Amino acid sequence: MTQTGKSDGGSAGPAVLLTVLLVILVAATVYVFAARLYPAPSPISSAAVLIDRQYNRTLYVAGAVFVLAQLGLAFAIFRFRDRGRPARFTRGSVAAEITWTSLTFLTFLCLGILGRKAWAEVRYAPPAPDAIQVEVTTTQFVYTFRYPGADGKFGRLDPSLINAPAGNPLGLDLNDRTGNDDIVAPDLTVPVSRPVALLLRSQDVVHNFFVRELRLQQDSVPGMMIPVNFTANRTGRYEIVCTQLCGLGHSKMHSFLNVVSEVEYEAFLKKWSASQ
Amino acid sequence: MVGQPVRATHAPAGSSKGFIRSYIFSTDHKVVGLQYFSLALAAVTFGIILSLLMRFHLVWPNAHLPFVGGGIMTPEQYLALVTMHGTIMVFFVLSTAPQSAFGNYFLPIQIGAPDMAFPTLNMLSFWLTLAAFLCMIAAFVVPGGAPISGWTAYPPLSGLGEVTGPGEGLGQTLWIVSISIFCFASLLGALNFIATTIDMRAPGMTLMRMPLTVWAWFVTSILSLLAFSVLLAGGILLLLDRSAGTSFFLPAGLVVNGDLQGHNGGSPLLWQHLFWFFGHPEVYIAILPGMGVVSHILANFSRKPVFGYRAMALALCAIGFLGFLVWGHHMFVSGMNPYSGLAFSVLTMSIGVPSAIKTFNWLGTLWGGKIQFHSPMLFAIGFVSFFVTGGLSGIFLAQPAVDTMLHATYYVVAHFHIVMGVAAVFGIFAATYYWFPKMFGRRMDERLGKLHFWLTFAGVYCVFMPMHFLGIEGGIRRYADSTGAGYLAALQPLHGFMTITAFITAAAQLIFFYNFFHSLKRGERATANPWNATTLEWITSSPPPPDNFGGHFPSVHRGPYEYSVPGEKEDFLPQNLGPEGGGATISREIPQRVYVTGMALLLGGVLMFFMALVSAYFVRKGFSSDWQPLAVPRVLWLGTLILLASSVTLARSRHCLLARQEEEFRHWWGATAILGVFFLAAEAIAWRQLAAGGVSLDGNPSGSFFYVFTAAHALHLLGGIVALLVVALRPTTRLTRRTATEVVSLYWHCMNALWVFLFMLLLAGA
Repeated sequence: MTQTGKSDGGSAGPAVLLTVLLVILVAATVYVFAARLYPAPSPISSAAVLIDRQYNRTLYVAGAVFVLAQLGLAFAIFRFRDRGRPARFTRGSVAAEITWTSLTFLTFLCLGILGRKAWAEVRYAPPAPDAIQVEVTTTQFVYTFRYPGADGKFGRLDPSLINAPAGNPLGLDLNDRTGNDDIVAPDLTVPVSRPVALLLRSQDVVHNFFVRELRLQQDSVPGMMIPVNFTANRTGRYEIVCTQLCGLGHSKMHSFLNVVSEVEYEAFLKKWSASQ
Repeated sequence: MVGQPVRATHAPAGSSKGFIRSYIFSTDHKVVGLQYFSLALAAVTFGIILSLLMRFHLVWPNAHLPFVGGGIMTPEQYLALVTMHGTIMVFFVLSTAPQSAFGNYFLPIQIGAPDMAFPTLNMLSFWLTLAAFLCMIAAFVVPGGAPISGWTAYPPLSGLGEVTGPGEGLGQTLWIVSISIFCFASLLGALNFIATTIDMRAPGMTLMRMPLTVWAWFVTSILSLLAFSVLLAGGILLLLDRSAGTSFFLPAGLVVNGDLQGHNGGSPLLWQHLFWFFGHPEVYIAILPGMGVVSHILANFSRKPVFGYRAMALALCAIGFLGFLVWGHHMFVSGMNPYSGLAFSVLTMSIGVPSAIKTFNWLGTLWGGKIQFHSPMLFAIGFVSFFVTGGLSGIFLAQPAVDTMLHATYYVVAHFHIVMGVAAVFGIFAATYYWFPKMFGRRMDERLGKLHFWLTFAGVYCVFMPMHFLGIEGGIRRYADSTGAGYLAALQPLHGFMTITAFITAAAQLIFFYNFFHSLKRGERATANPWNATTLEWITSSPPPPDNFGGHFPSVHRGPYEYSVPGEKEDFLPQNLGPEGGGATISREIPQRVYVTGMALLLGGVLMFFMALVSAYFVRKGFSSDWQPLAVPRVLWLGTLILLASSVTLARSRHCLLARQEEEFRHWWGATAILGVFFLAAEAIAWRQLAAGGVSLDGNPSGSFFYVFTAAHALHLLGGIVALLVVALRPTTRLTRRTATEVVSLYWHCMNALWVFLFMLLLAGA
């Protein structure tokens, strides 16, 4: 009644081939990461540097486990292929279970503790008192940025006044004085090395605000005002994209973050307040 | 008598009952299992075609496609493919094949039972699942097409109707209805699996002698029972938001396309919490059965016991339990409180511990073995490799800081496809190659099986490893084209490579289909135990007779993986091998206690459903400014008293039955049903009063919740009244009257207690 024999199950062929494939997998993966073939763009804020540091730590730990586990698997397959000798009977080992359980636990615990700082830096810290306030409004499939103007206060918004074709995409209440000097722009322009406090809101569905170079991603949710802070320390033009599925124009929804010098920033404010 | 197959004494299915009862509306768990398997096979074919269309479009966006109406695929058509591919694969393949198909077929046999605890319910689960599938597919052909909101269906995108995009009209409604039916069917299925495992095991089949497959199906069923009831509650609320004008998930002041929407104060995040409370356990629903199958197969073909069996069983339970505590890691960037993000992160990392235990123990099982490389073994080893790769990429995403850079990029797509999709599918393939001889009495072609493995294993890594790199560079998922952001164009070569390898890998699946269908007819005949395995499915004929063991039901004398035990002649000892050979009894009755177990489980699901609604109530009430207290109609005080009285009459009735006072039993029993009707009447009066007072379902959330709570409870109570009448009027055969009384009483008392809780909640909200 035995149909399994050395003929179809125990030959060295599959063992060798599988071992080779696993070794290629490990070698190729290690090469891509070691040679930095597909690096993330270089970070432009200290928070992003912290995140990169945590990412790298995780990469070393996960990478080491990946290499050991896949090569271990390859070794076991090759070494213990059926060569006619009986299997070594064992039901397990409590000592081994305890060892690898506690090792894994400690590794994850350390990673978690080390990673807290990068998260806290981004999310817990209140904005600096001199931070530039910008309100980000998302709508299908456009970003709109509002600066409070000289008075430092945002004017009142009324959803029933929203009329994008007539030039009032946010529903600014023109009777509210604090809103008279509000600046509304399609791009986000901020001066370099100055803290920025964003307030994210959405008019219709859930959208997202993602800038790769800031390593910053945050949903904007209708009915909520979500604060996020960043300080960009390198001038340049960076892309803002929407990463939350928001409808048929999702892939087209994007804008720019312009990190400029103080002088250019003042010029930007002047230009836009004159045009409104 | 080692491994001697029990001969089939019954005629094969079909000869006595006729074709329809034997193969279509069959209650035989094996037929139901094969029906689920066929459904999953159809669904996976469909899902693969959808994914190939997507991959093609990503690389050649301007090509004319035969399947697409206008020739060139529009963004909404692409997003419809995204949504339907995800939904069909997650629900109708990954939740269906590993659990419902193989679990149905093999769980009863592996524990030595003649069938599931509730065969008719089992059949009903399948037909409901099929109905859900057809309902889902129908979304493609209705005006507006299939929904575009992804398998996660976040409102407001999914909650406002056609105004937010094509497919968000009837298509999205069908999607929600389909998912709700699927949830209900899965609840019934899960209840059946758990009751079967608890009450139908053969003598000697202790928990610690159950095969790890049974452990996996068992834990998965518990997850299904608790998770699907929550999604069902969420689905109903979303449906009400869409069609009845309520505002559970829709906030005030929404302006879509320039039009102000008339909703107030709802919370989009509430849906995300409800969805992911289901959604994360769902990941384990897909993968745990695969883990069980892989442990089972690794032991078999290493000719060694599973290394650390007890730790493996405990790790399954631990993963299942922790799976309910980590849903928030899908929401790090959703606007959720960052402190809860930290808590969810720690809990998520802790799942790494039982996952590592499983991986180490799989390696430990291979270590020192006598490894035989049959097709099922190759796929099981492939599973381990994918589980390691996909699990490790999860450690990045589990940390909120790192997630803010990788969230919603192709990195996430790569991660979950490898760990949940591919690994689970390798589990399904391993199971198919392994159990094919048992299910069909023939063997699959070994050479084609190996060829299928090599191409799929290498192909899948070629598709999904580069996807990580795409994500690290900032490639965004669910983008219909790469023209939105400037940097995306540079990533197109990676897309090209992935598309080409995806087509090759998909083509390799034709080998599997050919092998499968060819072997059904032409495969080499299989013996009862072709793999020299130890568990109970191998002691019966291939395929098994209708009662699974041909009247010779086994007793169990040893653990499930007794391979290469020193000093034994054979290198495998079947579980039924006892001191005096393979002991067997002639018949196995279905114990009456399964009905009580089943009812307790049903109540667990019902409770979870209501708790989801109640948590929605607290969130909605606590985080909105539009809540206005509702004056609960006084007639409900009377209703509550009536309901409490009905519990007394029911207790009295049960007492009379035990005292054999038939007449009194009937009187009190009938009185209970009448009191139940009175309660419903009181509730109807309360609704009329509120409606007359201007409290409507689509008005203030306090009113919406009042109607939802009372209506949901009233429906459940109506079910109780029907059950009371059935017991009173119709004598049952399998179920004794005494058990029926117990079961209905349990349900009735629980519904009454639930009412008291809900009533107090409503009063507190007033």
